[in-house]
Amino acid sequence: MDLRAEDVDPNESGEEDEDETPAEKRLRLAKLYLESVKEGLAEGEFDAAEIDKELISARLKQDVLEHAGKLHLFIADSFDLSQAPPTLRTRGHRFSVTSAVASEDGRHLFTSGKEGSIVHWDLRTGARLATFPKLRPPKGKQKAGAPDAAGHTDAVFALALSGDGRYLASAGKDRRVGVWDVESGAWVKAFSGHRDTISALAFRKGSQQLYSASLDRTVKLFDLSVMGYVETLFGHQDSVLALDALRSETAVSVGGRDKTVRFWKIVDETQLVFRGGGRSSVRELLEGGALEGLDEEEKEEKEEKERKERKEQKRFVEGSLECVAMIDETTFLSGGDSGSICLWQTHKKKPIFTQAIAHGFNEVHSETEGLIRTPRWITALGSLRYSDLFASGSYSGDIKLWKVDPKIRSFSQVGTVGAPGVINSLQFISPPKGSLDDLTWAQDERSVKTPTSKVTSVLLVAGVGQEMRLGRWVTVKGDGTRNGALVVALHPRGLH
Amino acid sequence: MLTHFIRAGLSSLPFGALRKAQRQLTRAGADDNDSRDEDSDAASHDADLDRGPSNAKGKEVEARPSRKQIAHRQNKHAPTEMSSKRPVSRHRTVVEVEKRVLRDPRFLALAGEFDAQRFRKQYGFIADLHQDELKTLRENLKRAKKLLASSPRETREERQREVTRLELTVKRAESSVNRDKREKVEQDALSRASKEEREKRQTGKGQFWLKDSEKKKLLLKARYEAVAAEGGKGAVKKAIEKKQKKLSQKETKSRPFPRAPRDASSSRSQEQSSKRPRTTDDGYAQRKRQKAA
Repeated sequence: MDLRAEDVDPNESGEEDEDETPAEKRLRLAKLYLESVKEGLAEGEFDAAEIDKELISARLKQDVLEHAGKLHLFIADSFDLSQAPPTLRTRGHRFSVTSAVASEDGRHLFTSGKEGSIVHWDLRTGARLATFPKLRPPKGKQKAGAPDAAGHTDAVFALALSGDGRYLASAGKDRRVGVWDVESGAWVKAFSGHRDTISALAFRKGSQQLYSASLDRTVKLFDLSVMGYVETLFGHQDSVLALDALRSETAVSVGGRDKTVRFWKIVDETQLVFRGGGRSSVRELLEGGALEGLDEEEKEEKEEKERKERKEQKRFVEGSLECVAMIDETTFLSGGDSGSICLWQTHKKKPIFTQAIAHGFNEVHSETEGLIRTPRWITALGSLRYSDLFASGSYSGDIKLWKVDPKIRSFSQVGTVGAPGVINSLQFISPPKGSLDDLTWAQDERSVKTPTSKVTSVLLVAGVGQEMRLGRWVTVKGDGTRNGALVVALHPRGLH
Repeated sequence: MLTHFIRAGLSSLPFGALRKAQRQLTRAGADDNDSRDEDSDAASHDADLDRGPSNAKGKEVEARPSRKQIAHRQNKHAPTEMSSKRPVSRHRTVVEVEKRVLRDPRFLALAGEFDAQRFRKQYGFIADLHQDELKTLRENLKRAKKLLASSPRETREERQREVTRLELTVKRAESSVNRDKREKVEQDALSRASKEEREKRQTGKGQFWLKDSEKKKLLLKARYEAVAAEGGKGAVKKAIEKKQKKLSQKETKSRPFPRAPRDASSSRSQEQSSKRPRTTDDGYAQRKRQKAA
């Protein structure tokens, strides 16, 4: 019902008061409307147009909140993780998958591998649509790299899809950023400004500006609407390993062994430097020896003694920062090689919260040293934009899902998803309500939702491989590890 | 129509070029504004300064865009902000090596001012070291000479070289020892003189500043007294004679013309005079001799 005054005939309304002010009138009409909506829904008489408008208004509201750049979706608790969620596994790469990205509408999935090929999948069915294989460089130009080749000539380490789903950007060891057209699968352009391997790509949300980070310590900006290079950002002292960007003209990048996360303010041409590399200490109480056959007192004594002796305080220093994810315009996360995930805010130079040893220890039995325990690195981080849900991946065999505290002071684990192998990339997408029904593999008894459920299902796209993305420090073989992408559909808990 | 063409042209330009053009235009605009302002010579002057360094010929070098001042952070808990436009070199110092700081005590304020007396008191042991060195070197020279005398042909040259080297070193050591002795004597004489002056001052009698010529006389006297203390009056006489001889030899060398013969008849004198030319003797050398004695 329209609340415009013209449509309502004051002479016909029964409860009208002659001295009513326009505000009071609005209030009265709104109440009438709400009642009618309630009645209508209960009886099944509702106007499709009205529901549509609601959807539109909800969307507009979401857009406004997104433009404000604040964390406003508190939905992490609403997902059902009691059973294993429906997953789609794709195979098709010879070597480890370095990156897996899906389009915002939930139709396309792209994966890139260490062998240099990019595969296009249909996310709805899981079928392979196209492959862009690695091209052989022309003879005599092995090392120089062919600037004209319409494809990549070496390993591809990063992929990114633009917000409107039109362009796919890919880059890797051949130091070129390649742009592909998604619909036709054709190579559009190559940007060859970088001097070393490109390690990460990110599109600015809602635009066609592309950020690329490279091992030559620079971050470059390209604008795909004009297919041109814009500028270079300097500052990192070591290779840039990961990059993330949101709606505004800012980006966040992480610099490996220089242990810094840099927040780039592109308009101001400045950067904010956040220094990681903190120490995380874990006190372990190793289990005592045999206590049977002893008296009570003796037992206690022995226990205390063992506690004092065996109480080890191990300290792990973060030597390098590996991955980064932005939650909202002023909050971001970083993961390092000491297994710690740090939550940062742009107004504070130290992390707000650190979760140490997030993915446990990797135990190796050595003849001379005994048991060597090292914390597992955080190899990938992905966050659902503007919400309190994020995921971390390592080589522990599972992806951990975390929930950020509403006050943005800390975060805690809410669940895990099994994923054997090394997780090289993580991405969350929240496709529009209708498109999720098309996913043939994601249908579950949980996927049946009532129309009034506010929370939509969310897809988590992970690129899994047997080796780490940029090197071979860690390899995971056996135990069902396959090189491919893993797409998990997280459905909200149904209403009871 | 025209705007359409312009737009089409502009859209084909790379973004970097467009940005550069924009920057230059804004700068040009700013300059124009300044020049348009009539009563702001200062403003135009500032614009000239901002324009950057100009060549020696007066031609203007392309100005650098004015550097933005990054605001100092309000709160110490805030992260540091820095420019993102300055490239970083690949060079990384993995291990910090401390740079050696060379300190010359001659130019250090820490070392203080030079005081000769204090120096002699603290480093007087060096004179003893010089004497010991001389003794050792002399012994070494003796041994080397003996070795040279009893050496076969192959090693003779090498040993000869060693002997010459030692001889030179001995001469150097001797001169150091002599210098130490002389300096000691001189410093003692000067300190005695200054002590007398101090006493005079204390007792009330007028003190005198020692003139340079007086000082020289004093030191000369002290030197000869030292010689006398060592060897006696005979040694002093010998020293004086040696000095005179040296001086006269120098003087004869410096004469420009040979001396006319004094006695024409005497053949011996003629021979002598032909061998050793002499100028007219005006008694100057004699007077000098008398003075020294």
